[in-house]
Formats: sequence, C-alpha cells, structure tokens
Amino acid sequence: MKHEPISLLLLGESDVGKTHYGAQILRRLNSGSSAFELVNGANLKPFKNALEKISQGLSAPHTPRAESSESLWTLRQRSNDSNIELIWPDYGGEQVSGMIDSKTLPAAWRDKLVKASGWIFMVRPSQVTLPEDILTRAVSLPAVDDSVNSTLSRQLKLIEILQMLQYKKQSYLEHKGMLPPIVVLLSCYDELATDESPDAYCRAHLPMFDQYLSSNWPEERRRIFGVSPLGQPLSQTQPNDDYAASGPDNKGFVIDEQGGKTDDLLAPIEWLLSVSDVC
Amino acid sequence: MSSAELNKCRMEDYCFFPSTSCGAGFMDAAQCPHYHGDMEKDTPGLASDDERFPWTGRAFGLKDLRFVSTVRRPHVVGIAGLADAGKTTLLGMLFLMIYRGHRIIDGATFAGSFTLQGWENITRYLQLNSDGPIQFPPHTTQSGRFPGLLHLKFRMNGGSERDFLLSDAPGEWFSHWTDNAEAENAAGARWIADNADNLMIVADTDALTGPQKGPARSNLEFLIRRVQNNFRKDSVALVWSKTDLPRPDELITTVNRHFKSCFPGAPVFSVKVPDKDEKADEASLEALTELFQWAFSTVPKKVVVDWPLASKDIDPFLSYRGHQ
Repeated sequence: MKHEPISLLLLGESDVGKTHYGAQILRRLNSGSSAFELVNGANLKPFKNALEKISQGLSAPHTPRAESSESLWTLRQRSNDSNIELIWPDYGGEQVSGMIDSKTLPAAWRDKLVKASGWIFMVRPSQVTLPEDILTRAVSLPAVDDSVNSTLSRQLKLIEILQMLQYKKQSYLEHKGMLPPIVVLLSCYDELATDESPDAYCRAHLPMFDQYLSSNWPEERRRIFGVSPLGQPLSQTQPNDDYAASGPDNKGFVIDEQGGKTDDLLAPIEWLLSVSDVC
Repeated sequence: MSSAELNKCRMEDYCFFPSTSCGAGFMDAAQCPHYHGDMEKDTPGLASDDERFPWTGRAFGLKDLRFVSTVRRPHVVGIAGLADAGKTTLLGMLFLMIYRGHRIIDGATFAGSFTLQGWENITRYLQLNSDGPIQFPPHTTQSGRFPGLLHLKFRMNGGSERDFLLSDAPGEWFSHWTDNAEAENAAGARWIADNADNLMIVADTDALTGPQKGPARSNLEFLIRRVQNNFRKDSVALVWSKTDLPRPDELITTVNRHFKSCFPGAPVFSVKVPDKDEKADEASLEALTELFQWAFSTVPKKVVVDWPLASKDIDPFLSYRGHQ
C-alpha cells in the first residue's frame, strides 16, 4: 500500500541549530545506526554544505532568510521493516520571527501547516534567559543590555509563534480536532551545563512557556528533549581537527525527558512518528 | 487598473472575486469553472495569499472583542482608581507572576494570550533591561472612549478553557466619572462599569497619606459611591496599594467602613510590590495571588424575587425577577 509521505513541521527561529540537526540526522540515517535507515534521499542539496562543513570540524553558515527547501527521505523503519517517507524542511529562521512581527502567515506556510502530522519546535534556551525583575531582583543590580529591540521578549515569542500556528491549524481542521503532537527540542543542550532533565529545565527556566505547552497539548502528545546536534560548539572559521579526525558520526547527543543520554539523534523523531496520526 | 480588469470571473455581474469570495461557493476560486487568469500576476508584492491573524498582540480595542467572545463571553475584570494609584503596576505584577510560573488560579494553567505585546509594554518597566533601573510604569495616557483590554487564557481545573480580560484605563477617566456619571470624557469608565464582572477599586496609600490626603480621601470615597450607584453588582473589592508605606489605623478604619457600608460583605485586599530583601516577600506574593484569585472568580449574583409575605400561596418560581 502506498502511503503519503509524512511531513514534519520543523519550527525554530534563527540560530537554534535547525540545519545542524538536519545534517546530523541525515548522516546518522545514512550510516544506518539508528532505528531508521536511509533507503533513498532525493534532494540532499539543502544539507550538502552543512554536511561538508561539519565533517571538517566547522559549523555551518547561517541559512539565508529567503532560503526554503524540503528534502524528501525514504526511510526504512527497522522495527517493522516498513518504509516511510519523511519530508524534512530547511529554511532561514527569520521567516518565523517575521511571522510574529507582521502577524501574517505566508502562503507557503499554509501548506506546511496543513500537511504536517507532527511539530518539532527547536528552542535554544541559552538565548531565552528571563531578565531580572521586581520579583527577583536584589535592590541594586547592574543594568544589563539584554535586548536591543523592543519587540517581544524571547519567552513570549515562543508562546506567540505556537499560538499563531495553533490558531491557523485549528481553523483548517474541519472538525475541531486535536493539534498534531509536538516535540520541543532544547537545542545546544551542552551550552547549558546543567544536570537537570529537559523537562525540569523547561519548567524552571521557561515557566510560562512550559505552562502554555501543558495547557494546550495533552501529556501523551508532547515531549521535551534536550539535543546537541554537534555535541560541542564549532567555529565557522577555525576547523576543529580533532573533531574532523574522529568523525561527526559519533558526535551529538539527545537527552530524554527523564535525563537519560543517548547518541541516537533520531530518538525525538522516532517518538514523534510513533504518536503522530498517520502512523 | 480598472475593476473590470481586476475581475477574473466570467460571471462578473454577480461575482466580484477577488474582492469577495467566489460567487459560486468554491473555497479555492481557481477551481471555479467561471474563474480565469492568475490572480497573483495581477498583484505582485501584495502577496494576496498571505493570511492575516486576527490579533496584533497589543491591548484589545472594542473591535477585537468579537474575536475572543465568539464561544463564550470572557470574564472582564475592571480596575478603577484615581491617577497614579498603581492600577497598571498591579497588572504588571500579575503578568510577571505568570511569566515566572506562579499559579494564579487554583488548578488552572496559563494557556495563552492574544495581547502579549500589550502585557510586555507594561511589564518592561518592572524588568531590568537596557532602559535602566527598575521603575514603575508611566502614567497611562489614553485618548478615546474605550479602555485597553489585556487578555489571558487559562485551562481550568477540569480541562475547559476560559478567557479573561483586564482593563487598563487612565485614572482621569474615573475622576471625571466620579464628578459626573454622564461626563463626555468618562465614557471609558462607564464602559468598565457596564461590562466588568468583577471590579477592583484601588486605594492609593501614597496619596491618602501624602500632602493632598484630604482631597485624595474624599475623591476615593465619592468614587466608591459612584461605583455603588452605577456598577450595581456585589463583585467589588477594595484594594489598598503601596502598603509598604505606613498607614494610620484610623485612615484604614474610616475608608474601609465607608466601603463596607456601600458593599456589605465585599472583600478588602492590601497589596504591595514584593521586596526581595525581606524574607516576608512570599507574603506579598500571596496577597497578590489572593487578590487575583478573587478577581478571576465569579461572585454569585443575588436573585431578585417579588414575593409578598402576605400571600403565601404564590409559587416562588413565578416570582423570579432576574438577577441583580
């Protein structure tokens, strides 16, 4: 029986690691070391540059704003030997910020939203620090220049983008059905230098966002993972020779909700596919 | 470009697509047999396919209300008080508590807000950022006849969602309204009195103990009286703000007595901005939580019955005269 390809909606603002994650899971799929194996990958071009850079021990350059591409992968699921087709997107994260600022959904996103049977939301917590305020301050704290512009602060942006897409998705659903399941990836988890599980981290450091998530997705349809696609920071200009020598195949890790560490970068995707409506 | 050129429908006498939806009822007008031409070519740069969202993120105006009240009327919380009483700061404190994960309503979790930018514009002053040290929000200036309304959505105990709107209105409106209930420039205050489910009256400790304490007290007492006459509900609370300042007992007693005589049984709250230096900081947060817990709750209305004692045969069901 021929199935429609499964499309996942990958969300994230600039510089959260969408391209790195895409390139690294593509490499994992190709080496066949995870629950899935790449049978065929049409159009690997969006990730070619990132794959090359990472294997030289460099970080990939920023994906330009206008860039928007999709890569269709045919995967074989080892557990039941079935094939699924997965559409993995890559785009400049400014598109997401632009939506918040202009309060418009570009036509191209409508299709993504209609088709997607699971949402992956990448958040880089090191970029989302809450400013000190009247509830937390000691009397005199030095003023910190934490944001130059007066647009929404980071935690509120996370909520705004999800409730915008939630609103649209629900308006497309003929019956007011359930939202697709969501995986929140706290990216660059190595930067946080924390022992907390992603779940606990989110509750403690992004409390309002955490409440928003649990209010809108039932427990069995949302999960928070920590992920570090590269395993460590890489420079865009200075190649890390050790990294290149040992090969990026062994680098990168995922922390599950309870805090267990695995190098299976596809674990979040595996979970998402297992609960998404099409499977 | 003439309208005839714009109209890409062959049935142009009755269908005005793209100005209206497809006259033949097709969701996607390109599927309509009468449709011809490519709309996108006609409107480069307009990106006519892009979809707008029905909120801007800023405080709601009157027109925006339709959008949150389609399913169920939202619960409206009014905050009345004279200028600089701390109305906006109260709102800012509420939002910061949610921002930091405090539970405001028992068993309920924050589920969204369509006025995040509006909230942020208030709370920015209470946060430490590039603008300098923490300060209180500036005076709310608003021309017009309608208060800014800030939106919150909670998932209540039991799974249902509930929308709340809180008014952010300038104190001058309430001064004008106190002086003359029909005043032209008090329309915003009247809107709040007509539509609020729960109403807080803010008593400004600073003003009531300051150099202008005499006029401040009489203004407050007349405001309370105005609310009694025009709000006509029991769901009113008196909120003492800035209670980190010393308050003479006599002042508290007199103002509270006046309030209680207008609203027997109505609650009185005392709040202040928490002081992180004090260990008792938790107490101020608790006081704020209690206040908002009340503000978001529904105070049962009094049932009005016309039931003359003389005639005992009358069915009480038939003597129901509505709610007060």
